[in-house]
Amino acid sequence: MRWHHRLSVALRGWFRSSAVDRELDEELQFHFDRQVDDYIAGGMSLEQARRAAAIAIGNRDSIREISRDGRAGAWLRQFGRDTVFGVRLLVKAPAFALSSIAIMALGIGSVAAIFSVVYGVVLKPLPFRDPGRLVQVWSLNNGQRDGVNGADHRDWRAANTVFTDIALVNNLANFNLTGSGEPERLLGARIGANLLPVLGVSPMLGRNFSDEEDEAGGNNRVVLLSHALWQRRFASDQSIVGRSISLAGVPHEVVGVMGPTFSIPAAISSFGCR
Amino acid sequence: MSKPTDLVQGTVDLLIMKTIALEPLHGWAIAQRIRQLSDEILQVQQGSLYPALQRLERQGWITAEWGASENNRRARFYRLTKAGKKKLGAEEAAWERLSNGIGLVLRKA
Repeated sequence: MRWHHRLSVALRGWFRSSAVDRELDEELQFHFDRQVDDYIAGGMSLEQARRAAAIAIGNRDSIREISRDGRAGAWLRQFGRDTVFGVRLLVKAPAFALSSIAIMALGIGSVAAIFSVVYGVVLKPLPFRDPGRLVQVWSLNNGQRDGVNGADHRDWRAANTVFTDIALVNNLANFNLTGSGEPERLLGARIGANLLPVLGVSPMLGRNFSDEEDEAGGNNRVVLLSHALWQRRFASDQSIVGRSISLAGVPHEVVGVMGPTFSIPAAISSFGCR
Repeated sequence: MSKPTDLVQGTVDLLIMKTIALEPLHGWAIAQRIRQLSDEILQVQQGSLYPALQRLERQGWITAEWGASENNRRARFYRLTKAGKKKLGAEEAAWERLSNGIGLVLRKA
């Protein structure tokens, strides 16, 4: 019952604020008149009684204001008034207004731009399974960070007790795509068959490279297409898997197409280095 | 004649609720009753009385109804709600404890 009562009082304060004001005015007027009657009964003249009662009641506007401030939605009305006041001040000084708006726009714009770069490069979690456990491993050559060769990789994998798995990737590989349409130079990567399982991703269409294709001397003329390339160059053709494309004049079989969030080499170069 | 003591906000609420516990009263009568019962020591200013009444009404401790006053004018009468009665009991007990505590300190220290 009580919440019902409180709700109805709050709603009245909210929607019928002027009615509440009128009631309060009537109440204060009654109080005033009653006080005047009282003073007259005590021996004052009407004039004196009115003056004394007015002093006793004090400033009616301030009473009205205090009571309004406590009402539901007071902060919203206040906010509305502040907004109107602010807009008026801005309109009054348009040059100042425009320059401050421009300064704020530039400031917000540059912060947003910088943040989106920082987010993409530093903060955004890698789109892989367990990104916190992914590290990039290098070999050292005369104290300089260097790549890992295939033989070392095989040894490391065999002796590995630290990592779940170690995968090879060369993310600076270029391929010349010829055949249908304009010849094009593609930026890509050479990867080991276990890279995708290590990253926890799988192709959207088709399959990953097989172990046999990973072997030295195995059939390594196989490719996975990026989603972007598949859309742009092959019109999102679902039957692309199993077809052959020509890289540097050599036919390669398309074994699969990656999902839209997977991109190499960008994804690899955004790994943290440890 | 010294100025009547100003009241702390929380005590205004308590005094208002106590005065209307017996019978519904309008604002002027509430102020009058408090003044008389306290031998003119306590005087609730209009500036704190009406905001306090509205606050108590919003909190659901009291309700108001328009009715005819003793001089046959339209006046707003306030009375305690059921929840208000419970609240008054709790507030009275709290006040009792507080003033006892203060009294003890003043006497013993």
